[in-house]
Formats: sequence, C-alpha cells, structure tokens
Amino acid sequence: MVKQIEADVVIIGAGITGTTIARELSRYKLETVVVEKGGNAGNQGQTKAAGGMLYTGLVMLMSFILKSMMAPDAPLYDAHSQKIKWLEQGFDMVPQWIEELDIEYRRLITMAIATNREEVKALESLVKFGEGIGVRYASPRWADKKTCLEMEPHLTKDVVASLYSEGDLIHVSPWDIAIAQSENAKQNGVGFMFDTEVIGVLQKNGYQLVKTTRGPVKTRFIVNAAGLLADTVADMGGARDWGLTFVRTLSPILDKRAGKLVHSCLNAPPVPGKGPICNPTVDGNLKVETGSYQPTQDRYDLGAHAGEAMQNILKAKRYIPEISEKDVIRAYVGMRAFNTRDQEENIIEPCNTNPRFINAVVRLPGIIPALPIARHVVELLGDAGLELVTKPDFNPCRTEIPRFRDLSDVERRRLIAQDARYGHVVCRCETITEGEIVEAIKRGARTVAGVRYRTRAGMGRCQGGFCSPRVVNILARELNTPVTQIMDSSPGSPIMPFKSKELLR
Amino acid sequence: MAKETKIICIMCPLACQVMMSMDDKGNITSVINYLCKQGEKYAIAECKFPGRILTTTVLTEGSSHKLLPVKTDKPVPRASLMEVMYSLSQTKVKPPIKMGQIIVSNIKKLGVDVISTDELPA
Amino acid sequence: MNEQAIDVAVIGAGPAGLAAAIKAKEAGAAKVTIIERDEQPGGLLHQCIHNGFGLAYFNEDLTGPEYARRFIEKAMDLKIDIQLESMVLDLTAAKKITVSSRQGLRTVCARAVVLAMGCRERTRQQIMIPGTRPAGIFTAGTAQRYVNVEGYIPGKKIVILGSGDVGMIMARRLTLEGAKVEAVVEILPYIGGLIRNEVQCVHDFDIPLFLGHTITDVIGLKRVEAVTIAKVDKNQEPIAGTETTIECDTLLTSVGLIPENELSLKAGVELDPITGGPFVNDRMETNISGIFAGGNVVHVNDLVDNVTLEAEVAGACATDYAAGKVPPAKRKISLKAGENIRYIVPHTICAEKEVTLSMRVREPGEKMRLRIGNIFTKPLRVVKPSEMLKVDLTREQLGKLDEMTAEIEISIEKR
Repeated sequence: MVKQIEADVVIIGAGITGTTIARELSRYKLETVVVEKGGNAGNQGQTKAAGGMLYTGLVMLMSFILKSMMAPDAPLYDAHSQKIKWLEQGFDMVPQWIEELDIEYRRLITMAIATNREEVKALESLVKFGEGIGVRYASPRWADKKTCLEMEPHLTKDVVASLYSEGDLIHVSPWDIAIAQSENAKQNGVGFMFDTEVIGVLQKNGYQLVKTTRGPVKTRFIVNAAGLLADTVADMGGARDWGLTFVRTLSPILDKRAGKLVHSCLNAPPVPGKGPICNPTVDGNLKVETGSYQPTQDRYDLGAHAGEAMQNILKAKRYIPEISEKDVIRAYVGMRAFNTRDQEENIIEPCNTNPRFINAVVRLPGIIPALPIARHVVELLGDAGLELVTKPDFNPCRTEIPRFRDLSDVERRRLIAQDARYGHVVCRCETITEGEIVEAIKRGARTVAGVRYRTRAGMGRCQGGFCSPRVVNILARELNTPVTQIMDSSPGSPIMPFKSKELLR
Repeated sequence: MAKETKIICIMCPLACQVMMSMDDKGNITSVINYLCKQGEKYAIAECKFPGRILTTTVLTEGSSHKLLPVKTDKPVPRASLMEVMYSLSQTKVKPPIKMGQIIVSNIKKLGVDVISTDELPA
Repeated sequence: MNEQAIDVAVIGAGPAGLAAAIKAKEAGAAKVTIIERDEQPGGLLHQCIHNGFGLAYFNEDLTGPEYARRFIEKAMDLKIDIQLESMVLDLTAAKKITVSSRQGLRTVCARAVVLAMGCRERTRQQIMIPGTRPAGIFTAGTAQRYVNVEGYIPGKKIVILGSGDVGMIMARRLTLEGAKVEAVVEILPYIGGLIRNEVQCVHDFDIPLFLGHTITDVIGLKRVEAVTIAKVDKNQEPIAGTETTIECDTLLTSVGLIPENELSLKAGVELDPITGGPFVNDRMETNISGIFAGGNVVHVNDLVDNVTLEAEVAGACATDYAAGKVPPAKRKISLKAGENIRYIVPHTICAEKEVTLSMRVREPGEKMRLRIGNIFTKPLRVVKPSEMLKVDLTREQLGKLDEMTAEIEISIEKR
C-alpha cells in the first residue's frame, strides 16, 4: 500500500517558475510538493531553452525597438504594464537572489555595434528613444572605433562606433537557478517528485486529488507551472480561455576558445534581420544568438537543423572574424510558449472555474521576473484561503557544490586534503572532479543529465565522450544500481541497456 | 558448377577487385583484374581459405576488470566466426591470467586455440 | 612544497607517451616521468582489442593490448616513473607542470616536455546532425570503451555514421557481440578508413554500406528510435525524395578525430589550423623551446606504428635538449603544401639530418606522382585522404638543396 501523500500546495513543474514559487512557499509553515515530469529541476522545456540573460537597460531597449518593427501596430512600450513592472522589480532583486542561491554568474557589458553611417543613425535614434522612456534606459555611452577595438580586440575592423552600457546585464545558467532553488526549497521542507507525470486532477469534497504516474497526491491548492504543457495541465484543473503557441530557436554553443574572443554581449543595431549576435556565457563558452523565432505547431519539434546553425555562425563571423564553424560543440533547440490571449503578457491568475487552481503561465523572459511573479502567486494563494504563517527557521541560503576548476591552488589543496576524490579529475574538458560528481549525486542527481547539469561534467568540447562511461560507473556505484539501469535523463533513456555477451545467449 | 567470385585486395589502398573463376571442383581456373603479384597471391589465399583471426573478449570473475581481451591463435574460417562467439559467451575466467595463456583450446574443434591478449592480475 | 625536478616529462601514457619516454630514457635522460590521467598506462590501445597493430614496427600482427604491453613492460624495465590517475591542470612555457591526483596537487619542473595527449573524437554536435538528442547516440570510440572494457552493449540495432576505422571496427565488434548493424552511412563517395577494415569489418558481415548518403533526421525523444538517411548531391546536400527511415536504437558516429591540445595552448604552443596539432620542426619541437610533441597530438595517424616512430623522435630530442646538447639549427626550411597536399608534418626542417615526412592528400587519385621541391619524386599508384603518405628523406637527398632554400613545395601531380 502506497502511503497517501498530503499537501497544502502541489506545484506542477520544476522549471524556473515552479522552483521559485516552491522556494517562496517554503518560507511558510506549509506542506508543499513539486511534481516534475523530468528527472531534474530546470532540465527541460523553457528553462533549458532560456538564454540566461538577466537584463534591463540597453538590451531591453533594443528588444522594444525590434518588437515595434515586427509588429508596428502593437503599442510600443508601456512602462506601467504588469510585465515591465515585474521585469524591473525582478532585475533589482537579482543580486541578492544569486548571492543567496550561490550560483555562478557573469556581469557583461552590452554593446551595440555600428559598421556604417546608417547604423550609427539607427543607434542615435535608439538613444533618443531611450531618453523618452526614462532614466533606466537613458544611460548608454558612445565608443569610437578605437575604444571599441580596445574593449573588443577581436571585433571586425569595419566597426565605426558602438553604443554600450555597463551594469545592466548578468549572465547565468538558467538550470543553475532552478536546481539551486529546488535544493534550497528541499532544505526548507518542500517535497519533490521527479520523473513523475501528472495525469489528472480530481475535485473532491474540500480537497483536490492530483493523480500522477507515481500515485495520487491529496492537496488543497494547485499551482500550474507546467510551462510548455501549461495548457494540458490547465485543462485538468478547470476551464481556460487561452491556448499556447510555440516558437523555436536554435543556439549554437562554441568552444571556450571562441568564448575568449568576446567579452561583451554583442548586438547589431536593432533593425529587422539583425539584432543579437553573440555573448560569452557564464561557463566561458560563446553562445551565438539567432535573433529570430520560428513559429511551430509541434512543441516537441526539438530537432536541430545544421543549415540554421551555420547561418547563425556565418552572421556572427561577420563581426568576430576569428570564430569558426569548427568551434561548435553543441547546438540546441529552444522551445518557447506564448499564450493566445495576449502573447506579450503572462497569465498569473486563478482558474475561472476553480479558485484553488492557480495558473502561472510565464512567457520569455521568465527568469528576470520569476521572483516578483512567485510572490504574486503566493499572494493569490493567500487570497484563495491559504494560511501564510512564516517559518522562523527558513534559511534562504544554499551553498554550491565546490567548483574545483575555479579554486586557487591553496583552496584546491585544502579540498583534496578533506576529500581525496576532489583530486581525481573525471571530466577533462571542464575539469570536474569525482568529489563534485559524488556530491551532485548526494544532492539528488540520479542520471547522467542530473550530474551534467549540476556539475558541467560532459558539457565541454568532447560532450561526454571521455567522461560519460566514468560518470555512469560512479552513478552505479553511489546509487548501488546496475549500470544497465542508469538513465541518460529520464526513465526510458538507458545509456547501456545490455551486459556484454547478453545478446549472444 | 563453375563459379566466379570477386575478391577485394587489401594489400594496398588501390583495392583491386580481383575476379576469380573456379571449376566445379573448386579449383581456381583464372585470376584477373589485379595490378601486382601481391594481389594475385592474396586473392588466391583468400579464395582458398577465407579465414580471420578472431579478436574478442571473455567475461571474468573475481577481478576488477570486467573483461579479458582474447584472440584466436590461428585464423578461423569466416563462416565459423559467430559459432565461436556463441561458444565463448559462456566462458568465464578467473585471475591470475598471463598474456598468451590458452583460454579455450581447440574451440569448436576448429583446431584453433583462444588465447589471452592481456594479463589479468590477481 | 611537493615539487619534483626532472629531465623529461611526458604528458600521456598512450602509445606516443610510452614510446617517447622509453626513447628519452634510452638516450640517456636520468629522470623521465610520464603523467597519465587514466588508471593504467596504454591509453586507447586497451579498448582496441582488434589486431593489425605492429605490422610496421614489430613486423608482427598484434592486438592493441599486446602492442601496449610490450611498451609498458619496457618502460617498467627501464624504471620509468609512471604517475597514474594524475591530471595535468597546467603547463607553462617554463615547463612547470601542475598535476592533480587523489594525493593532492603537485608541481613537476622539467627540463624538457613531450606532449603526448593523443586525440579525441569529433562529436556529432560538431557536425550538427539534424534531429533530436535522445539517449543512444555515442561516438564510436566511447562505444568501443563500453563494449571492450566496461562490459556493456549499447543496443540491438545499430546505425553507424561515418566510415572511419573506429566506426567500421565497431560495426564488426557489435555484430560479433550479437547486435545487428543496420547500416554504415558515409557522406563521401568513398570509405573513410583503411581498405582492410572495409573488407574485414563491413563486407565480411554483409553490413549494408551507404556511400554518398547522410543522416537527415534522428527520431526519438528518450532513446533513439530510428534515423532517416538520404542520398547527397555533389555539394553533400541531401537530395529530396531519396529518404529512407531505418529503425534502430543506437547511433554511433565515426566522423573523425581531433588532436587534443588544450593543454598545449596554455603553454603558448602554436597550433596548425589544418592538423589541429602544434607546428613542429624535424626534431618534433614546438614553437616553445624545449616542448616537444609526438603522435596523434600532432596530427591524426592511421597506424599506431607511425605514432610510435614519431614519438620516439620527440623523446630522443627531448633528452638532447634536457642535456643541453642541441646545436642551433643553421637553417629553417618551411615545407609548403602544394597541389593536392593537405598537410605535411613536420612543418619545418633543418636539412642537416634525415627526416620522415608524413603527409595527407586532399583528394583521392590514381597514377600520381609525389614531388618534393626539386630533390625528390616518386610515382604513386594511388593516393587517398584516409591513407597517410610517408617519405624518408636521406641526408644525401637533402644535400641537393640549394644553400639559400627557405621553402620547399610538396605536391601531388598527375602522371
């Protein structure tokens, strides 16, 4: 007999939105359970697809302009819109947030490059536009050719001038935040059910029953943070007057060699077909931006197309001539959802027919406003009758797995002296040690992807070719599970399903 | 019945496609389409006895190494390779094993021994 | 603290590292150390359980482990210090090496260094096969390690992309282990590996070979379920309407190898963008004085015997350097890749001692002639990009060079 799990709140989805809400709820004396289809927090859907750019200022300004060109009839910028308010509030909360979660981040300069007089004009009108909006957007500075090349020595010599700003862009790995928040929420008492799919919600007398592939969960409130599947999950809770549309992007990730060539987030002037070029990532790779979204009917349309990636690289190469298509170590497809009611906005509200079922349907950018949105969801839950009694022992801080590669030799020596496994490098491309992998497993990684997203093992230039057999062995040893049952990411994705000689019998 | 076979020579990158004709008794009657003596020699040998050194592994017991690499000491007829594999899948060895040690002698009565190609330390 | 001063440090204990260390020791270096990240010396030879090694070097047909064992035993006889499970974190131009292991961090200060890190496989993402990213996609070498060392089989129905040697060898290996290899798919109109492997690994087992084809889609969200292949045109673009879908649970890629030189870059070693390895002179010395390189870290060889020979040069010259016995070269002559030559190793020669040149061609051709400046010609019946060309130049031949020669062009021409 499976023990019936009882909760005050069930959150469906452990992406950025779900884990932020979970962590916010863990401040209160509540039983919260997060149900996630995938094997780890932040490993799938929109969170995995997110670019990890936490921005305001110049980047936001350029996105406004691009949007106005693509949809000339739409209202350009409404500083009072809920979305913009949350973005601005959220950006101001970022430093404390990432400090508490102890995740890696990288502050970047934003640079918009002009290579001819027309583009300079485009940038001039950008400045004017920003001044019209307000102080947050009015601060970009000009750099002449010489300064541009001093700031970015590998930039094309065709540069004439650029507009740049500091302090308005931070790069993070989106899944780092989701994983850190899931760990912190767990620390504060939240329960997590991974590899668990929600198959239905039943309305009972005074409670709701969430039926999952791992048994039912009895709960009073439900939060739908299911991202790409938010529509399907919403239907389980009640009626909806919105649907989802999907767009895909393809982002090639380049080797660290290329990452060293660029220091800022580089953009072309915001004119159609141009825009973002590339930016170094928090891991030191170079991410080439597409700047375009392709609509798709199929939310599982995750196949990459080589031509697409090549085009993007050729575009970036015009600005950074030294990068090469040979530098590509990975090209991933990102899927994003927009709601059909107002694709510019998020839907954060109780279901029309079920006040105890909150839909939190967040469109991109989803990381910047995550905290204000989560706090709003908590308020909505309170309005719906959830008692919010603060927990005196709530601890907002979580510590990261030691990052051997970033430590000084003195720190490395100390760490190895404490635990010899930190001296044994397993992933040679990213310099990830056995100690880090074992710690990731202790914190809940049960798959190769779980280890990869927590430690970066297998994310480097050889993409796990060397270390994956070793990671599989460590997983099997630590979890006391046969190698044949170690999964890549989720049930049904075994790495090595058969033992030697098994197929000969 | 007379028969024709094509044999790709592996002696050099040229990879001559040597054509062999045989009479009904299996005697080679003609060899054509090769560019050097080596090719002719190889094709005749390959036609008479298409044998291969089989390299594979056997399971171990009581060792940190899960497998021991092995090979046959003489070529195995090509048609018998899988038969040898099925038979060897049942074999398990215990350390210590020295390199070159016989693991299975006269496997499947083919007149070849299976020998270890590495050591398995105790 | 934890500092060790030695004559020659060799990074990597694969075939190149073992050969370099042995030669360094035999040439008279007192203290030779090999630093190896794996738990045993021998490198990839342990997973290459097939035969075909040693035909040139020992005149014997050996398997990978047998070939490795000969060098491991010799290194042990010579009392060469092999430090295992030791990862080099840093290397400086002053030849200071930082090493990490379970015992802690240590520093090795060497008079001369031989880079012998070998190469790694290109990953599928690098050539960007279209489709999803489910489990069940491996590089052929990773699969080889699982099958031959770890004791696991990746699947029952296999498709292999690329006809490199490792790919073809794995086609045979997986067939022997009871899996069904549904196809070997090669985008070029010819095989990427050695003819021996085409015959003995693919034809012997009647494995379908699709030349001039590529994979246009990978299907499956959790584990590979199928791949779609299509014919390609002259520009290697898939031809619409020629698609076939092959059910499979595993996709192996064998699409080439790249020298592993991230560490070399830390020391300021300059790399040749064509080979992916350091620029070297005829003593296998890189642009950083006292840092030598040998084997697949310099350029990808197709025979281990050549790796051994090349690393021996690096090892012996490293010992000379460590002993201060290097006469300054009077001349530095560049070897220029001319018609249908993709690269030449070494990149420069001094023309004072005999040298072995290793070359690869760009395009296959028949009835060709190799021309090395005005000092050497050789008719070649056939040339193929997959088969390395080797030429030994004697002192006598090099003596024909004009005093003022600064560059020699090497080319392949039609006879």
